[in-house]
Amino acid sequence: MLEKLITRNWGLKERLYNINEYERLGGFLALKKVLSLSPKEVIEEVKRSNLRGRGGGAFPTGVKWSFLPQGQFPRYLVVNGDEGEPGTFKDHALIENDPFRLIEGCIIASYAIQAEHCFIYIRGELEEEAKLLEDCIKQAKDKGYLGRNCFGKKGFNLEISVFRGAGGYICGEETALLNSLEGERGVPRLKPPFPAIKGLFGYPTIINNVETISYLTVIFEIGGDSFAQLGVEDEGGTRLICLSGDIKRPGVYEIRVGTPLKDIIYNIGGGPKEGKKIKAVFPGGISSLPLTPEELKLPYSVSGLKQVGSMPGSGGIIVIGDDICMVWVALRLAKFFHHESCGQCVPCSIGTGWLEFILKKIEGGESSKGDIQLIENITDNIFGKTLCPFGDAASMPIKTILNKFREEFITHIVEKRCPYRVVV
Amino acid sequence: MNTLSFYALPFISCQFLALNIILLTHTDKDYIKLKLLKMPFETDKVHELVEAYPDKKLFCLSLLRLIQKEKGFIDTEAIKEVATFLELPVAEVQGVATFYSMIMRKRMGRYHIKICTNISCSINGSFKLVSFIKDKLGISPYEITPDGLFSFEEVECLAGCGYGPVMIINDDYYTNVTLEKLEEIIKRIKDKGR
Repeated sequence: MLEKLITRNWGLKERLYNINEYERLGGFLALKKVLSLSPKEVIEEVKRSNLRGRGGGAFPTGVKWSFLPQGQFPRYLVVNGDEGEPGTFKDHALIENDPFRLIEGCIIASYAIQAEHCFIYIRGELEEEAKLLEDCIKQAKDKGYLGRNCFGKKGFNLEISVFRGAGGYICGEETALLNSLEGERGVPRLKPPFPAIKGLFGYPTIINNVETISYLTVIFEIGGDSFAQLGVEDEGGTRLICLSGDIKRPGVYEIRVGTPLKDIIYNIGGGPKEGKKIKAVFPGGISSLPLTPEELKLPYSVSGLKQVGSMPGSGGIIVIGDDICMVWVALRLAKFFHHESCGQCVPCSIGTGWLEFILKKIEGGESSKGDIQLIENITDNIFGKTLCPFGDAASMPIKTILNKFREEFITHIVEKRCPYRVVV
Repeated sequence: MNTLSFYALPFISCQFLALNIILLTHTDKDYIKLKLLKMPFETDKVHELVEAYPDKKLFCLSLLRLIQKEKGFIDTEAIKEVATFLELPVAEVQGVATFYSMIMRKRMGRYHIKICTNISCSINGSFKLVSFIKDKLGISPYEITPDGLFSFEEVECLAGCGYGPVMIINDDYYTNVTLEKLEEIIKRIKDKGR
């Protein structure tokens, strides 16, 4: 059930913070293989592996890379480590457990897209991880694996810089992240032009998630085709999932893409906590549509969860127990999105505020007639009317909670109180 | 920016209280030039470096973080200083300063406690911690205790959902925080503060 590809060396901690130790455990072998290929061949191999972006968008990585305009330089690689999706903590774990794998992945990706500078954008709160990465980069530089003619490959120059954010969920959106890197407010840009055409400082830029970049090492260790075979038809390989909430064994695990959610929750996670039943599951962070227990038989892949309109997103599986009020969950979502909305588009920045206000009223037992219709109206008016996917992420899960757990909302309104255990 | 014949990238790191500006310049002949500057503000040198780049805005967020590390918070004076320094409109710098949640606009306690109250952490009891702090230290979010030691805020996800509740005090990351653990940490800080 559990796979050991990217997580192979996890748990060694300090030992893996040393470049020689990492190399002794099989590190940099993938990179050596990559450097014997041409950049074009590397991109083809990644395409064959069916690797999809693991940051939430699930866009095929190889395809994204081939969008770069021919012959335009410089190009940049930006690694998105601004992990902020509630329920997701895999990037944090990846950096903490195997930092050199990320560095190796950065070198592979930079070689493939012919970038000479790579930025790792990491959350401002993760002080330790940022220091660790800076130290790893220094070690790699001292060994000649970074810098001029890195790894002895003539004409392949690469610098990696760690950039720390300063808080803000929206900076995880790729164009907002670019704005933040340039020292501006982290607000999303209008697309097109896409970052692959006009990105950081106006140059072609590829933005990939920490996990996506780290998985490149695995692809070249075992080969693109065998990586693709591990997954399902349109999505290859294994992936990291993060289990949290009302579950017995929370944590980060590696599974094959396409494993049924039921197996993940019951066999890997050990099922819900003692004496509880599962009421709902967010399969990919709180931006994904929550599932009911009946829907857990679906395979954990993009196409599998699409059948019910949801997505594996960033891999953050949150299990909600049966003693938790779904109105409160919706309220917590609304509060989060209202707090994190960048304020650029009116439907999102004001709509989320209204959602929070109305849901607070319902949860507090002060609801008035027509509140449910009002929630539906507001979510419909946010969806599809904003610049970035944030608006959709803010509106759809709340609407789905309302649709799937409508009786709870009605009970709140009729009884004018919350019938559940108060979490807050 | 596009007219740049070379691409120059400033990168500011605020590692270990020693405040350095590391600048990576990139030209054909000389590949990497590393300049290490001691902060705070040997202004002449910083000016010299900043002037090498046509878009000074790049420094904005990093400079604000540097100042916050020194001063503890960003007030109007600091914003004006950065604006003059980078030759930007004050409003623009203020825009950046107010956007990011880690940039504090008023003085906080010497130990600023951030508790995650998002779904996973709440399910695991982070609200007990919040009410404990409210009762025990007698402060509401963004207030400071009379001795100036503590302040706290409820924050959104801190990327540790499986090990909740998660808490950050200044730069230290705590997971699986229980009431006993929190009480002990607060006691330890108080003893040290005295």
